[in-house]
Amino acid sequence: MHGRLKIKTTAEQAAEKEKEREEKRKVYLGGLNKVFSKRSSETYDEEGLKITAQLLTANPDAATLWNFRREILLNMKGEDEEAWTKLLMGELTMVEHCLMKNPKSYGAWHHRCWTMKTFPTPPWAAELDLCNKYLKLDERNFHCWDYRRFITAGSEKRPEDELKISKELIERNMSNYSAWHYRSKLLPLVCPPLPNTPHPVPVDVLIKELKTVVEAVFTDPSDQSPWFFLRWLINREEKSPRLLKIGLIENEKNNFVCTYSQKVCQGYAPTITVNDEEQMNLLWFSPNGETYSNVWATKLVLPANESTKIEILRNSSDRKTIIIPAGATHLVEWVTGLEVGGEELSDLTRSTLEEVKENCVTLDELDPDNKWVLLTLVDILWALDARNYLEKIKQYLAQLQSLDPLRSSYYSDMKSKLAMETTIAHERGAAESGVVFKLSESNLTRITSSHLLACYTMVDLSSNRLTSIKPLSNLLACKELILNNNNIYDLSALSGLSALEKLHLANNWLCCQDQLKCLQGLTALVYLDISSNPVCEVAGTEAALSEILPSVQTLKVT
Amino acid sequence: MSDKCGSGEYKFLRKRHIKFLQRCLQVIPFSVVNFDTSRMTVLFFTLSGLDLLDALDELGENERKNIIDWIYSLQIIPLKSSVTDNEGKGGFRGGSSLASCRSSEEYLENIDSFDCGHITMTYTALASLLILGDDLSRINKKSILAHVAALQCQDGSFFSTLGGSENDMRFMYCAATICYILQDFSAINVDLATKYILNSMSYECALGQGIYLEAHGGSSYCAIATLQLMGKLESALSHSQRHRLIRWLVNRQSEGGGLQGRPNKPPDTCYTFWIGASLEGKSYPRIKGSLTVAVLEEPKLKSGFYALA
Repeated sequence: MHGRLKIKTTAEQAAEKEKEREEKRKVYLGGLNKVFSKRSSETYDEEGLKITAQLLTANPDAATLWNFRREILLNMKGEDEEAWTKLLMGELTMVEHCLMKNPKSYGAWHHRCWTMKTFPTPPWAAELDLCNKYLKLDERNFHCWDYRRFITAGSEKRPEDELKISKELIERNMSNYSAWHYRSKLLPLVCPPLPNTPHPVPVDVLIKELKTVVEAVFTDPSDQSPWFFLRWLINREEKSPRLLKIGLIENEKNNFVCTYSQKVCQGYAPTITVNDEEQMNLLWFSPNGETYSNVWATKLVLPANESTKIEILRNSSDRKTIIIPAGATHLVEWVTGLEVGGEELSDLTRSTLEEVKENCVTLDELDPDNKWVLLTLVDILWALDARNYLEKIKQYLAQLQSLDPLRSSYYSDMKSKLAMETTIAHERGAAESGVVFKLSESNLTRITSSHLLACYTMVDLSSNRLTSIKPLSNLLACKELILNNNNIYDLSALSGLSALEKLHLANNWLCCQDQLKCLQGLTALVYLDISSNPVCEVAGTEAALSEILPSVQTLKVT
Repeated sequence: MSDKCGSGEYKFLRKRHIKFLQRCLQVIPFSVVNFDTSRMTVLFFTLSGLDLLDALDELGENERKNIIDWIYSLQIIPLKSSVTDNEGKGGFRGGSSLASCRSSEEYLENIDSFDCGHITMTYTALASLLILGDDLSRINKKSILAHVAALQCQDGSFFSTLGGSENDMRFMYCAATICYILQDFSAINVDLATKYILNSMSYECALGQGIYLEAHGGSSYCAIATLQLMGKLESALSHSQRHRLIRWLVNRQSEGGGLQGRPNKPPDTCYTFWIGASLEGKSYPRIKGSLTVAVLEEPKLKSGFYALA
């Protein structure tokens, strides 16, 4: 099927082949008919085994034929354990005939598992040899790897021993991708991490494994497997979502926003007290009505012209208090840090990452223009301190774009992510945070971390290379949105931004009036600029817009 | 779409592909006898191909009706004498060779107890009917959903058929598409299915056929599509997992532009779909340009449609 070349034959060869196929066809169809009549008459005999064997060797993916074969065998099982064992050994031989023809047949491997489970005393040891034989033929045969795992579980081998074997396999051939994979599954079994720690294994194990991986990448820096393994080891994963930011915003529908570090469901929303009075029956909304969202908003009724105390409670030990001065309509506060899990890197983790970084820098000198080295350096520097290493990371990403042009857009998106994250982190420290966010003329191809922009009243992403603005549905507080000079054609994400008063979309890719219809819900909109878009050349655009947006006072359509 | 399009040396031979697909509708060669029991899937690929090439209209009314009738003939309708739908024997067969849909009433009664649907054939049958514009009015929805429900395992994955088979991500995808088409997910335990998918995630954050198995382009597509269809894609994967999965997917494109199913393996045209569709599903269409060249350069394509070669 896959990877088979078609070869043209002469007329003579073709005729001979046709005769051969006709014979095979007769045997096959005849066989099927016989199988059917045996099954319906509940005849379970040697002949049935013989015919199903023939048919299955030709078509090992016919589940029904395997099922019938299993029925025959079960019916032939007598009191004599020796005879039964002999019969099952015959099965193993039969399956091997099928495997020799097609070592990737799901049906054949499945039947082998069934046979092994049916033995009174399964011959596990010999099966390990079979695995090794087939893995030698194709070390990437995942059916065989799965079967190997079945054998080791059945023969009650300890995962610690298999872990040793995986290391031997890796040391024998550093390119053994499947061995790395096997190791990645065994490690967390043998050395599970402590709960709520960010790495997949405990730190002492991490450091030891890194040594093996670094050795592997120095041996063959162009092989992907150890690089993905390295990334897996050093990746820090936040185990539970955290409340990052809360804010009072000027939005008539929903004036109080909670921003989380991960997408959460509505049940995550906290209890809120206003001047120590618990707010009952609060309705929480997510942008676009999604079930899972980083951003949840509700409507709080606050006393006018009075300083107000608002308390956010997750549980008795997890509370945050903010004081809204009298008359204030916009107040935003960070609850925790942006670091993974809210924690800075530990000294040990930091020094471990630094060491890997040094190794990569050396490797870069020895093997310049190796994309995996550069990509790993990007990951490490980003994890260590994206803001301080910003220029270096940008330099590596630019190098990657020219070295690995197939993924140039992907690296472009990484640059955008870097720009957004570092700008947001910078803003966090700024005096007047949470009001204006500007990231224009930055070659942005993708918007990320938009949930952290939920409380900004003005967002300027002009003069970039944006096509999709889907993440902007999070801009619940936005009154002025500047998107001039981009490549935008789909405005549906903006349809729920009820606080939006001014929208700048000059010089984009808006081509037809249909694309403007979703702006209809923007009841607060007073200013709209869609000049220098192809849709401006379409007759009746200005009239159409006036109709759907009657409250707009300034409309730029040329 | 024009008959020949493309720039430079690369031409897309639309008419040749259509001809090949039309031929497949009539007969498949004995060299692919292992597809005999899964003719429904061959039909689905053929019809999808014709549809993508805007050539479905070339099928006459009669032929369209015949195909639809053939598909329905493979639906298992529980006989009056047999037990209720809840036994889970409904669904569609892959073809008529192992089926009770030919022959006498007497024959039928004997076969009935062994006759049961195959989840992949059910999915491809429904999809084929939709492609042909059928309104699914002859579908026994209750029976099909019972068939899907009966095939879910304790770990959340699915078998292919009641008689027994292996269970993995392929059949998970089939189950999800069936429920999506019939607009009814009550038959399956969605949370358990999601758990199985997450348990099948590798260290690269891509997805294998099952727990402990290597990440693979085909199973990654099946998993991502299943999550999407069940409405769980946004919640199931963390930011980090999403990013790492995307990195794995975009790195499946090798030098010539073609896509591989796993690292360090040669590219194969089928992964154009598995990997390409996974990225589309995650709103990340980042590989289009050079992909076209790679697919068109593939030597074995000269004789016909890629997926079936």
